[in-house]
Amino acid sequence: MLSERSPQLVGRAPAFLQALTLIERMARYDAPVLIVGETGTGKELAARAIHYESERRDAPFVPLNCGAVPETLIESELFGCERGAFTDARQARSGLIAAAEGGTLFLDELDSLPLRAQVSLLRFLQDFRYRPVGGTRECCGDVRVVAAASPRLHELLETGAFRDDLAFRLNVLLLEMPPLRDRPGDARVLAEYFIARHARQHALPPRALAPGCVDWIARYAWPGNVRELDNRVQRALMLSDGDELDLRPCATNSISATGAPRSDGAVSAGDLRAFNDARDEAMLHFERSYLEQLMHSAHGNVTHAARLAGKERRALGKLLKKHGLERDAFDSPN
Amino acid sequence: MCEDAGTRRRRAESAILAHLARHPLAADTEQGIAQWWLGSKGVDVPLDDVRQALEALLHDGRIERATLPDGRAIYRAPRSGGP
Repeated sequence: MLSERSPQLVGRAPAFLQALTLIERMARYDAPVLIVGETGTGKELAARAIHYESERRDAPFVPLNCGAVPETLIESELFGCERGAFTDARQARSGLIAAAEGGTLFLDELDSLPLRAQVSLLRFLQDFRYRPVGGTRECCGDVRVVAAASPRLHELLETGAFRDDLAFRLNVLLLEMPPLRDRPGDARVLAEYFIARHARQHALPPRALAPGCVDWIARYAWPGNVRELDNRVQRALMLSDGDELDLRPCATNSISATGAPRSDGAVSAGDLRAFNDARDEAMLHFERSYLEQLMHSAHGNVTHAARLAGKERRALGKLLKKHGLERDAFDSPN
Repeated sequence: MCEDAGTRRRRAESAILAHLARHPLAADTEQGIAQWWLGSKGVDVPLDDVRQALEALLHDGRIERATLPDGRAIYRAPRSGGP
């Protein structure tokens, strides 16, 4: 069973078990995969599970965050370049497709891929042939492409900012990683798993979840999903004592001093985390704070709120659901 | 019984080398190595120890690092060319 080989894939909820079943099946075939899901749902973990369960497991797994590479460099980084292809190309260099030869190239944040690079990637996926930037020789790449995108990909497809032919080419196999709020019971299972794991790794005494926070864990919307839960467990373990562990914000006020982003967005050197994690967390704080103010201003009227925010009603509804914000919780004018 | 950091690091080093001996073409980031090369074999150590194990192996020339354009790096058995 997949979860036995990958102890990271933890959960019992039907939506999660269905995703595991799909991962197992997708590992058997060599077609491109598109993984969609909110931040923190485990898209990279799923991509690795597909790779390490596949026939390509003995070869490289090369991940690339498309959003972290300058638009002008992404093609040369993927396909390599010949000497003199551009000002800084002092010598020929192979790219990530060559680095992943025989294995899997994981393109994270695919929705950030510039249009020009989308065309190049589409061309590559058609016959797995490519030309390094500035070169004429044709190369052949034996890689499986697994891509991941946020739910914003749907909006980009609707507005034409993302090529639908590339999306069609990639989503031969489509995997949706469910948000934690759609995995009833899993937040507690995961919290207990992370507590045991981090306590063991950091040689801390084992601790149980405080009974008072069990209900809160089940009710909280977990907008940052599994990553948020993991971070919350780690902070609580390190910043509190006792036999029981309480993950509620009220129980861990001291946590905000190191965990939550400062209003000016800065972090001290001791608090530095991976850029993407810090950015995602700051984004979640912004979203929640914005949505709360918006819904107060609109007195809980979602249609009016969507108009005020300049968003489609459906998209706003999804965001509210992601943060567990109910329209009834906001004052009605009457 | 709790292991000290040195023991954990050496255990991680051995597991990485054992993985590369069986899969000489394998490559992954420190996260992937911790999760899949070590985790699936029951070597469950903190990421910091994996990082230090990789640094030590790199220093000894037992593995090589290729930096990725997004700032991360993959580790693999020594070979020529890059990334």
